[in-house]
Amino acid sequence: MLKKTAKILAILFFAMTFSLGQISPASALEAGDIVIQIKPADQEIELSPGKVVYGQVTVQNVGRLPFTFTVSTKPYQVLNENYDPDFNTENSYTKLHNWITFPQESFQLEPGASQDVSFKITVPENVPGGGQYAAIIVETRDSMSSDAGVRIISQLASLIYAHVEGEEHVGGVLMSHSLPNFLLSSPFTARATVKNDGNVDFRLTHTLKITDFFTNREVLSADSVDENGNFIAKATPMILPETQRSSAITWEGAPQLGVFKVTQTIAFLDQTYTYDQILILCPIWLAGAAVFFIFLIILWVILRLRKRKRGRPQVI
Amino acid sequence: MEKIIQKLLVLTGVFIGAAIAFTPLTTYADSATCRPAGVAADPDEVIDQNTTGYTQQEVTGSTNVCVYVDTVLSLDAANGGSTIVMYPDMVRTGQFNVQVRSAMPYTISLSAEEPELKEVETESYFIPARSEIVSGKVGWGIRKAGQTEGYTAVATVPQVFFDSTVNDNGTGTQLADESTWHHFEIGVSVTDRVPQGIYATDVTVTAAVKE
Repeated sequence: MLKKTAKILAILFFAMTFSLGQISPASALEAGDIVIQIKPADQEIELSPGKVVYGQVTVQNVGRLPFTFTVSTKPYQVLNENYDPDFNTENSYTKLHNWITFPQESFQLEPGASQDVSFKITVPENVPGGGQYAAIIVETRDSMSSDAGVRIISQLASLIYAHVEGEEHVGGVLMSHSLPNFLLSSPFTARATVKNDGNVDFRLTHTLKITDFFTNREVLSADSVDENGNFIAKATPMILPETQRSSAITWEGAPQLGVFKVTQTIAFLDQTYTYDQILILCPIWLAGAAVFFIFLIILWVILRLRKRKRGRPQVI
Repeated sequence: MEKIIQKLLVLTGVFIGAAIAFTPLTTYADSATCRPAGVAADPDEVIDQNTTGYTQQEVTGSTNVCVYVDTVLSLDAANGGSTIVMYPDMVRTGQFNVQVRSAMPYTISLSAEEPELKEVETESYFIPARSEIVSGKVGWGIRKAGQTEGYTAVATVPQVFFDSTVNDNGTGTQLADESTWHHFEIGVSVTDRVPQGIYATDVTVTAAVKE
């Protein structure tokens, strides 16, 4: 009994003294206190060797408290087909971040205020033509709650897609595509994977057109939008040099049952691929019922044939 | 036997017929004749209000108003991480919240210059970042969006913890609801060998659009 009480007391003592980050509840930040905004979130810039180009991003304080922020640059690449950003890898396409300088790197911003941050890109002589990619990183450490075990540093990345004048190699290959023709339950998704063989980025235009098989009425097209005005059957992802990217378009709100004509169009550079397919949508329970129905018909026919055979007069 | 099958046939036929009749059929989407606000610029398009492509109804002669909206990205991650009171040999959890507003798909990446939770006063003791957080093992991790089991060890290199093209609805085209807060669960486990104290680290949350 004594041992048990001592153990409970020890745990309580441990819990009171061992914590992750408790200092003072007064310093706690709340949602909406430090909110940092940047525009544009990405931009394309044309560069020439030996020339200087000026650009800018605008940082806004859309929160309730003032904050200090700093600006810096990082290389920008992607890790995989899903295009997870990579702000660390340096290669021949990420030299741009070394060419960018800021006249001022630290700023104080009051609530509701905005700050234009200008930057200068000094392109060295004799750099090869093609794509160069970097991110302008805007960071504030004022978002760190001192009473938290995990203190958050807020960073926003404004991506720069730059094209250096010179010898550009433009090339792309359609690696794979998929367009289902029979679906029992899962949502209908059309996919395309395109590889960029060149040294400069390009955009893939991936669209779907779906029409009712029987009425020929258009259900979805490249211009179709959802209630927020976003395209639902069109994707235009950027493909960086020497990477491949998958694009998926899912038909949200597809009916459970129906027959449709689907046209998938994959276009990039001067290449256009069009695939037509008949799509049958049938819920699994209905497919099961149909199979059972067919099974019953076969059974019924067999029984009828047997009965007829038995009913025939026997010749002796 | 034959009669039973006949009855089953009729019943199944009626069931299939009724099911087809009651299954909701196709809905038709709206179309845009002008690029909607907030949608990324199509490089092949030239923004000009008076070009034919932006004329809504040529019969009536009315012109669609097209407004170009610049790509904007905002981040609210300040209310992160509350105190987690630890008990030995127990996995305890906390969370921090991040809100990103963007009209384009985006990712939220996490990294830490020092991934270990360090004892703040002496910096002599630490809780390592791990993906396996179980009682009896010392470690801490953060659960990625959509991760149902285990945690992910925060590294010095940013890793994607949320991808709006994957984690919102998996469509690859749909955008995040701008009012959505992303809750990242923190899991910590210590043993009675870990010295008492306050342990903390700085985690960098990086938001970026996905073109």
